Amino acid sequence: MRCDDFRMMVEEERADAVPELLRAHLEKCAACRSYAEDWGRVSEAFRAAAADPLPEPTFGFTDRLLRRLASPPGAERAAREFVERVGRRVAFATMLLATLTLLALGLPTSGPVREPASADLMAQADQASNSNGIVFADDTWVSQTGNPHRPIPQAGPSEK
Amino acid sequence: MATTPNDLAQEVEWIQRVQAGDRESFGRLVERHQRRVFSLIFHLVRRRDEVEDLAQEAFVKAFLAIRSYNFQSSFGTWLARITLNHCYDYLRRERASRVRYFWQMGEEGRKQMEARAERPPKEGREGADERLARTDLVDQLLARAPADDRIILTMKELEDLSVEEIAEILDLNVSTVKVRLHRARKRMLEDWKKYRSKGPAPRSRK
Repeated sequence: MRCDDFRMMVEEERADAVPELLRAHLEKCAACRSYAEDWGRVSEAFRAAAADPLPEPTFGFTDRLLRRLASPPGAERAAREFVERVGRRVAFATMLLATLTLLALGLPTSGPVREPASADLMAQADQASNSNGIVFADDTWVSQTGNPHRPIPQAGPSEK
Repeated sequence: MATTPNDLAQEVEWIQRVQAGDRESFGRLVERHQRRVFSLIFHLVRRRDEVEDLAQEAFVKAFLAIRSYNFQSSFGTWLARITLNHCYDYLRRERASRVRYFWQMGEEGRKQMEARAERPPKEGREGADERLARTDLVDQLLARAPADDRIILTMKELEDLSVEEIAEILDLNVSTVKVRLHRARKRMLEDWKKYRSKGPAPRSRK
């Protein structure tokens, strides 16, 4: 027999009725002896706890229980539980949706994947033309080399 | 509890009436079994203030499920199974809320709670205090045990049920119950040893 088998015997035997086989093992095995001592102390504590006075039902326990069973009826209770369960899910889904919406609103409005809008293209074109020179109010502009240019006059009606 | 053949016959009649929709007969069943239910709940949860509420909820569950009772096992065993499942749920909930509460505590409160938990079990006192100290030790050992161990140890050591009765309630075979019981006792003793030498190990393992 293994030590574990002896320990199972220890748990089941009363301290005053230990079989000879077990007694002989305990005499030579210090670990099992220690186990038996510990178990003896703990099982004594359990016996003391089992003797604790039990709580009694208070006056009218059964009547209260029967009243509870009488109302609400099972079907109504089941319906209420269903509504509560579904309600929780709806609330959760709404919260999730609201969070996602807020996140979407919080994200930057342009990004690498977004195509530039026409207004953006116009702004870019302006910027590009300005970077080539400075335009004056009379439509002359100075190029980066410093040479002034004047716009070519539009062809008007020919003078006779 | 039904003990004589007459009691048993009467109980069967009450159950059949309840199954047919008679609530008053359920009241008679409650009165016959309430002591056993209260005892089982008290030993499992170790909290007097919770026993009555839990008992009421267990009886409500039994009432709602009574049509499924098929007289295969005794009504007491069937009711004990419902009570046990209800307590198991309660213990898991209670344990989860305790962990949350611990995390919500401030540094000071956490230190105080740890110091209180590290205090060794009150052993060696004399007289009436000795019994209290032993009960306290059992409370601590069970509070630290995983829920499965706690249930099987409670049924054997506090409810004094036989291995066969436990097997019937837990729907296991007798040899499985013996092995589980031995493992639960061994784990509890190992935990107790560690607790005495080093202070508390992590409390919740399930």
